[in-house]
Amino acid sequence: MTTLFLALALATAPGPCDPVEISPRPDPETAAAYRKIGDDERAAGARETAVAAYRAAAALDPSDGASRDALRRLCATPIQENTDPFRRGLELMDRGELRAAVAEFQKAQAGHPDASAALLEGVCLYRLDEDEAAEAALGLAATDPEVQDSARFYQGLIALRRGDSSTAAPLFDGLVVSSGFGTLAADMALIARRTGRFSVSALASVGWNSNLTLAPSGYATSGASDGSAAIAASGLWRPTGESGPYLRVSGAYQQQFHLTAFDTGSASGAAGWQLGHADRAIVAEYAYTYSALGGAPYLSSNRLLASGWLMWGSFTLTGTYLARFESYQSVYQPFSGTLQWAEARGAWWFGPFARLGVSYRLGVDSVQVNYLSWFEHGPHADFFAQLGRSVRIGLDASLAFRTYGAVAPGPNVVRADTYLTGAAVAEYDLGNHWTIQATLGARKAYSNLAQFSYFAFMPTVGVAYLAGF
Amino acid sequence: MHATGLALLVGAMLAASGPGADEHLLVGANAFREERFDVALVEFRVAQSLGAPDAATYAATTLVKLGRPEEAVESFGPGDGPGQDALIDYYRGLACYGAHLYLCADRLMAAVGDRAGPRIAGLASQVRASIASALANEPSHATIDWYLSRCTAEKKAKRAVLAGAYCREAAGLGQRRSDKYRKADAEAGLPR
Repeated sequence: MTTLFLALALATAPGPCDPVEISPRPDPETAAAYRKIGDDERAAGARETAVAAYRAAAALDPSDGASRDALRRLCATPIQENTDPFRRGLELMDRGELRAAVAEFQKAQAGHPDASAALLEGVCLYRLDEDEAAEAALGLAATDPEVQDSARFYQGLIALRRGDSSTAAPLFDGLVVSSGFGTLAADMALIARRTGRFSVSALASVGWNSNLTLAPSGYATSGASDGSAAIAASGLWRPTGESGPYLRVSGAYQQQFHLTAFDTGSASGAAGWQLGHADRAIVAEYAYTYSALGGAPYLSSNRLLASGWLMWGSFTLTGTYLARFESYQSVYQPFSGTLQWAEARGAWWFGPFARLGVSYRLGVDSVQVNYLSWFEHGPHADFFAQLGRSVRIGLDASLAFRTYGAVAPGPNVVRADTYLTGAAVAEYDLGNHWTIQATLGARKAYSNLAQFSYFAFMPTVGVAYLAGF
Repeated sequence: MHATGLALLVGAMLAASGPGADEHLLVGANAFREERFDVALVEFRVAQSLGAPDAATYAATTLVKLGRPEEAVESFGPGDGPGQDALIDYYRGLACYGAHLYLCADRLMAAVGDRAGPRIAGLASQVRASIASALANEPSHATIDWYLSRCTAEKKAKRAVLAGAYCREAAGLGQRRSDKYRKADAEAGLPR
């Protein structure tokens, strides 16, 4: 019962660092077991336990100089307080209290490097839009191989949102094969190559419209259909990245194969400011558009737009309002006026690669002739899914109820229409910049005036180029 | 009070231990009861090295008392389902809680119920309430990333039990998100 005796002796010992009393019954074998545990505990940073083990070893084996030395060194080391700010930081972070979480993670790093705490501090700062401080913390985390991948992923996200695609893309590339970020990193690398402080896109397509002239249902529609070829291009300059001012220019031209009176062309320029990022932001924009129809001036419009969104987890709520001041030309002049349009939209992400959006839309068009003015409202839904590395699909459907402002001359009734619109798009990436695109659009109009009821569908195929710099 | 409970448990196990290990288990249990946890841990470790069955569990329990939850999780051994002894489940739950393994802790605390008496049941309920608060929001991507990075790090440190626990937690947290973020990665990291 040597150990029992020792335990009783320890129980009455005045303190862990007081002189060791030698046991009257030495037991070098058991002392060696205690010493090994002392070594293990010391290696684990457990000072108090190591002291207890070394004391037991030294008491049972007077010749055990190693235990005595270790005991002496440990007793010369001041006791450190045992606190766990890391755990509090993690809890605060999941509760969305990011500022408080940052403070806890910083405490966790006080006095000794802690890559996990540095990583999470960086992530919190990233979510607080404090990118500069976030980069400093992530830089510390990236020096530790155990959390390096996560740190680099967030470094990539920061580079991406400041529009620095040349930094972001290689960071994501480096994570595609070697990390658990795999597909996510590959998608982000693609996005990085297609966005940036300056980005361009161009689309060339051919299509067909089954009822270009909007011939009423039930009437012969031969001659109403036509094929077309179209080109469109746009450029976007964001000098400070995602958040900040931007300028956009775009142009489009569609040439009909036969019904050239319906050829369209447009040029547009916009200046705006986005304050915030993908998780929450507000946007204000002014845009001017000039359009031509059949080679003749058609519409000149000035548009003001305000939009904002807020994300909670996988749900995003968006509100948008625009007012477009339209000036139609020639015979279309009576349609001149102001179009106002608003939408409230909720979108849910189902996994990182699928999103469903549902919205309700309101529109008011106040024009020169009151029976051409209208009020419209109705629901809208859209779905997006990334299918594998290179394929995306999108579906879009809306229902709109439109009532005109006054009794139309002739029919002597107030016109009321209902529009059912659907669209589908499929895209296949041919590489970092090229995408093949196929779309199918359809629209069915119901009206209390038979001449305004129609159906049309419009398939197109095209190839798009997107690049960011 | 819990210390007395553990001492009784140790007493019941003495018959199954070797003669040398008995003494250390007994001394460890006494030290544990007197809340001299550093001495208790040393004694339980010695008993473990001498082949005492369940000494690792008592060492784990003592590690909980010493505020070393991650080592405790490792010492409790594989699997995080409830066992036959509610008191051990309670300590194991505390270890999981301390190691940020909230889903693990919740499972164990839920299993404690009234099996360990009304006082432990009350404490287990308090821990569960705290866990419910910690898990009230959908876990962030960064949180799940952190659990997976811990899983990888513990594997490298050859603490397989702890690594498995972190991967299991990451999978469970991924399951609680609508996007199932990195759930497959976490499940792939579990020991087979």
